[in-house]
Amino acid sequence: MQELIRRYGIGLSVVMAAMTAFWLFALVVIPNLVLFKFSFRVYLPVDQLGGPNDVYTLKNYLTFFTSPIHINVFFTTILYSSLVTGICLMITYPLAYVLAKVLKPTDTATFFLILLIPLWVSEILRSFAWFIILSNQGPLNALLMGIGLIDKPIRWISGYQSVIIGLVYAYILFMLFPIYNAISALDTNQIEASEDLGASMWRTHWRVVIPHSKPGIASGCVMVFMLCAGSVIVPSTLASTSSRWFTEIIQQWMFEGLDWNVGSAYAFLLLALCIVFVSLVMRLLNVRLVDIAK
Amino acid sequence: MRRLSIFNVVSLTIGFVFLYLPIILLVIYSFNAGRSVAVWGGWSTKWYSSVFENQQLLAASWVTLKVGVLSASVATVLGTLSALALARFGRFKGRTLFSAMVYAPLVMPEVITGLSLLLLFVSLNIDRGFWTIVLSHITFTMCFVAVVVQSRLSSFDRSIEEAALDLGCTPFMTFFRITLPIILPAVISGWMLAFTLSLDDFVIASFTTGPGATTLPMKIYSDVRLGIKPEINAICSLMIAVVTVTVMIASVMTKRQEVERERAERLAVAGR
Repeated sequence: MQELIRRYGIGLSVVMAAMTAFWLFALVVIPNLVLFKFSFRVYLPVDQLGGPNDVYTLKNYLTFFTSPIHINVFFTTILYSSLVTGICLMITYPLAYVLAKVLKPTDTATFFLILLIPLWVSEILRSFAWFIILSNQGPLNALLMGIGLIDKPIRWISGYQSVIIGLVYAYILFMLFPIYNAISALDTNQIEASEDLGASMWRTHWRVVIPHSKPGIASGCVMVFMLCAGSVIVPSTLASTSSRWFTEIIQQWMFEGLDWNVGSAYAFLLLALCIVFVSLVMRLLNVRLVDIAK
Repeated sequence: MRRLSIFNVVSLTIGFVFLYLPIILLVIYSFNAGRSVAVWGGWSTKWYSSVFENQQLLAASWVTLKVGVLSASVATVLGTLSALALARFGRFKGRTLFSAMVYAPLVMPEVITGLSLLLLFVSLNIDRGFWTIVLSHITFTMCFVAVVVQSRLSSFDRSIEEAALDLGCTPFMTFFRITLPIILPAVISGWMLAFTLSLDDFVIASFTTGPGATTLPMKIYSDVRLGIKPEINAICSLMIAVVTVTVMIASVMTKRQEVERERAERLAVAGR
């Protein structure tokens, strides 16, 4: 602390620390505590607040565990989020390798700028773009019919396929950047040594590049999974009535059912799912939280 | 140097086509003369002029811009301060808690951030609307600013600050004459990041808004859900244009500043 006081003066540093800490406490910590508390309360009309019915209860969580439909949607969300994470990993790994180790460093900067622009385009616009492409009389069906592959339009927006496409498209770059960072930190000599010693391309990747980029892969997987599981826009734009996402149920409780207490309980389940997933990935890939945070 | 094999070229090309084709199609369809968003009916620019006559869209854009500028500016100040606290305080009591608070909104699902803020505003009986959106946006964007500024702070030479102090600068002056100018590029790109995040945000805004405050993403979302006119494509293309230009300017700026900084450092080392 003394060093700091010498550097910035006691007034400035106290103001700095206090302002940001207060802000974060009031708008990050307290809201989540409120959310937690809400999830254990009963939804009541205003006149009964504070009355005998105003108690703490597990009822809101029981609503979830007694509803087969909601449990089903919950596990479907996990399943398809994991699938999207896997697809993103398969697509981005070669891309990240080429960007990090094959291209000249001067070219990489340009490529990155080109990659960044789609990331900045709003998620709504990106899922809307897929909505156009995949719609019944949209360009994809027109193209396929034009080359004569199909004779009548395929209904792309049905089931979960359109949601999967949309999610991969929306979050793929969150997988690319951590893996790219991890691979570019690997000494190219190691790859060359492995090749000189006679390892095949696959073996070099399996034994040298992948083990080195494990923290990057882990943080990419964590990011993509959490974004998918918590995604609202993509599922509600691209899903049909038969395919529902867990966040849509939360939204339903909040905006249509108007039972905010059950909604909070469901939100907490989502948060718990994310925490479980993060620890699972860390265990599976044998990395620590510190490595991921980098 | 390793060579580009056919496999590599193919994977790069497919990757870029996959990333860009949907966005390009969206822009092309904004020039669609037909009344449907997805069916092509010839070229026209009529949807662009109808955007500028649509009062609701213009009002929503104005709200979005105001929210963006206000929240990005406050978030930049707070984010820079927390970055300074994280980078310069060393090990103070509660540092882990503090950094957890700074980084939590980065990884938390947006639904949960939005929901928890909504419940906070409700329990405090705050009228929801324009200002609650601004507050929420400040909170979730300041973390991004903190990350950007902190990475710049950790890479700069502290002896410059020490020299200023030794030469009799007050700590206050040192901050404004030495530290701030050096981290300024990071602060500016932090602002731009916060601004674009705020422009794009739908989830948090939709949870924390009240009657009378509709942002552009909320308007687009409801139009997309309730049957759409190609007007939406036009406004989307305009947004894409704004974002593209902003990103280009930001990256050119940081690039130029980096080159200048390297030159200045080389000159300093050479003793001139």
